[in-house]
Amino acid sequence: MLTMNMTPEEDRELVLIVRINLDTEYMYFSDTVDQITLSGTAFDGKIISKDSISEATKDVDVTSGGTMGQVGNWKLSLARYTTYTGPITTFNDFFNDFAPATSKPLLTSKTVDVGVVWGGAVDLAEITWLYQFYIETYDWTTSQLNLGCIEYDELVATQLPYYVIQDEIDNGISYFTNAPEESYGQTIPIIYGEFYTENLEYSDYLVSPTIRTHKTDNNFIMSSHICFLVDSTYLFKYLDGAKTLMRLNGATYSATNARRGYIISLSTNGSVIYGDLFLQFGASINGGLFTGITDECMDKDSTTYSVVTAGTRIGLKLISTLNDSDLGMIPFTWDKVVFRPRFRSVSGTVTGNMQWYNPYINNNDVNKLSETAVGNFAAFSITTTETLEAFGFGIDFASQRWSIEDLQNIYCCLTNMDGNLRLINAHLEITDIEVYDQTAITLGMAWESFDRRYLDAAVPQTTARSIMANYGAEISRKNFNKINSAMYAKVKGYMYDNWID
Amino acid sequence: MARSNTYNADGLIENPSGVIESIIRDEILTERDLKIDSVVSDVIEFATLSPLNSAVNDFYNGAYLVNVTKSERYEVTDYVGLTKKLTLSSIPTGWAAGNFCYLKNVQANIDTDSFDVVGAGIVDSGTTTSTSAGKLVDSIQNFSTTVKVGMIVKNTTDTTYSYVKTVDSNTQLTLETDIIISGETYQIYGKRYSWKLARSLTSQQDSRSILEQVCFESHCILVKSYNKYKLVDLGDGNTVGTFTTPMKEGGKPLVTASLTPLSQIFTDYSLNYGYDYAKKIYTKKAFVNKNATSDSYLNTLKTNCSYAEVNYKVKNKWEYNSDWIQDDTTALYFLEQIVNWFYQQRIVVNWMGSPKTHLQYEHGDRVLINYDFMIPTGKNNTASFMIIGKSLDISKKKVRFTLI
Repeated sequence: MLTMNMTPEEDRELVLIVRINLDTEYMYFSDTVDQITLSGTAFDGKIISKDSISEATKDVDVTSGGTMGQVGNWKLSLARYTTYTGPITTFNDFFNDFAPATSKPLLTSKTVDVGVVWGGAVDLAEITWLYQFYIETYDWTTSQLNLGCIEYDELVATQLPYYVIQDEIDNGISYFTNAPEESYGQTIPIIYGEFYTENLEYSDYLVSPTIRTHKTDNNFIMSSHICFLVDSTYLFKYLDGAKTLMRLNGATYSATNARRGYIISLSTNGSVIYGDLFLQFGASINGGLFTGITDECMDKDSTTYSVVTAGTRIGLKLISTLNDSDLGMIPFTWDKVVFRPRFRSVSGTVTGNMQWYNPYINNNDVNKLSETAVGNFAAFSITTTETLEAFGFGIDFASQRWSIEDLQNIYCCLTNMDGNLRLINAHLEITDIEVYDQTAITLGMAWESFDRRYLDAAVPQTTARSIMANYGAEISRKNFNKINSAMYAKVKGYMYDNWID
Repeated sequence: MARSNTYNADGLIENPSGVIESIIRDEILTERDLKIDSVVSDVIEFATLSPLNSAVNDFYNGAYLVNVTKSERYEVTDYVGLTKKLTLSSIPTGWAAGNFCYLKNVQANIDTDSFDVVGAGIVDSGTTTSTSAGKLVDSIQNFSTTVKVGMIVKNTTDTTYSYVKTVDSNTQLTLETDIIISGETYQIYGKRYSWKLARSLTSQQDSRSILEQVCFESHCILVKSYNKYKLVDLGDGNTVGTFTTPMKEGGKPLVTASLTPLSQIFTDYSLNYGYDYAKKIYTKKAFVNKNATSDSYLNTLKTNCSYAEVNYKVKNKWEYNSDWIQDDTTALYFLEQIVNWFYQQRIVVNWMGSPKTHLQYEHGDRVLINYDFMIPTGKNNTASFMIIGKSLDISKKKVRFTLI
């Protein structure tokens, strides 16, 4: 509700007050018969054509819910008159008083304040200002100057976000001379709120997009009023083939929070950038000894599950279409490639066995219990307490690194020996993928990992060794994948310190 | 100093009112791409390299000058239009000609009270110290500093709610309804307290469409009153006056009433939210219809859906993709507001009044209408109507309102 600056007395007329701001000075008008004077300022009463004043209308259409008010508009005419004594000395030849007349001020876009007082007012402070318009256009006849006004609206011409990556004008903010071509013209994102959800188990992420600003360095930019660094070590790369993000981290990362934005570099000296990937299983085996599982164990919660009864097994398979060039080099060690089922027994203790099968090796038929698994993870024993177990793949049976194509072919199976088992979810976890190689990756490091795997009694050895020779082509050094797409980051959009009032 | 109610220094920009205010102050009311001509003590000149737009003295007072090169910011305390020199609140160190700068918060006219009523967190809480009908009395409070008219009052002992009608003093509030007696506990907070938005603006849009979307997804309206932006929540709230006497023409009152169209009645609501910027999909869904809801919080709204279907004999689906809502609780709050807004027809009143008694009312104000010649029983002088349209006819000395 407006605070009226003057209380009307009985029989006092409402008086319209108009103030046109010419930037360096004002013109004052009123709709009185003659001029009125408020605090020494004369408001001319003869210039405004009384019949020309339109209704000042503004509506907010809330029939569809929350919204913004419409931009109001107003029309007013000023008469051709000789006695006006304001900044424009006469309105007799008004077409010569404003541009386009030579050296005269432009009237278009000038601000028009509209207010009211009641008859008897003497003070400027008694004006209650109601509207602020600006002059959108004007025309003139032989007798009057017609002003077309619309409500002053800063929003109309403002595009947000304001800054785009460019190499034309050094403005200290969005000027990047070595950005990749695809970055030029892209807006620097502005974030509001929090973007730092990272639920690896369910491949559930809420992270914010960034823009690459350098062709060769791994530099990305985003902005907010202040960007607050939630996690300085990670960026995220989207893998379309798996519909998920791979978490990237570099040993020599650097990050800067500043009012001009937030800049992160994953690699400051060319060292390795690593990736962590969590892939949800999306397919299963059904029929025979295999319990057909349902989507309930592949969704993003722990409230639904699939039941595996005694003596049966379940088999899970990835359905991603990733290839090795999407990822990089998958590590050797058994604890870096891990099958992670979350499960529990319905009651008591249930024992079982974890195995993996590759349908392309030795003609294994995973649908027959008698067939030999190509690898054993481990036996397990589980109770009614829900757990997320880890069963490492280690190096593959051909003494090579795993490729993602290999992993996508494999069935991960749980054989249930007794009791009933509930499988709540499962995923394949691959950590420390060597994503971006500059100089530091060597195969020798990997062989050290290989040795360690064989020293670890927790991982069955025999089966893997026996089928090494039967496996396919050698998996050697991969085509390392440069970070060439948009990255995603964990950040929060903060206020400036003491930014208001 | 920082705003004390809605915003804390360095706080997250996530409440709807905070998002809107930040966009207006920091992104819209700006003058960008400036380069310093000279620095003399606390006076910074922008006359040649990138002249400031305004030649009006004091035009930039209260704005903030951000030095991008130095990553520092100072408030402008004075401006000389002729020389285009800004005086800063302190003498900056190391600022020099050629530094890149921009101005924000230029001519920032924000109706801060209205933003606080929408977005404030818990501004006060305690235990009442005496009983007075329709009042909340707490002898150890500082209500005059912290509380704004329109904020929600929750009686946390009885779990009842009302609104602040007036702030009588530091220790007493008048409430819209009588809900609290001595010895009961209470909290006072904004209408969209605990709503959280999150979005990354990744492509250019005009700022009006961005703000319209935030308003829609927080069920608020943003209107300009003279030169100030004012934010008002849709829905129930405190009333600021009563319309009693319309103008007449030919002896007939200039009042009409109608109902919102049936096309705006919905029976089945779905909200897609949780936009994933990488997958480019909405990952979450909240829904409510007469048979089911996605969350027990929405269960009471099933009867509203059923009411609409039975009484209006329509089956309309409302579905919306939210770009700003990531938070599950906010999604439920928003859907609750939407269902309550759309499950029944609303009365739309056109009212013509005299300026003397009506000019002070403006968009977003809620009023009672006490005029049983036109307003139905049960609504007359009871239901709150929000002003959504106002038209001033100066020559005929009339003010026309549209209320819903």
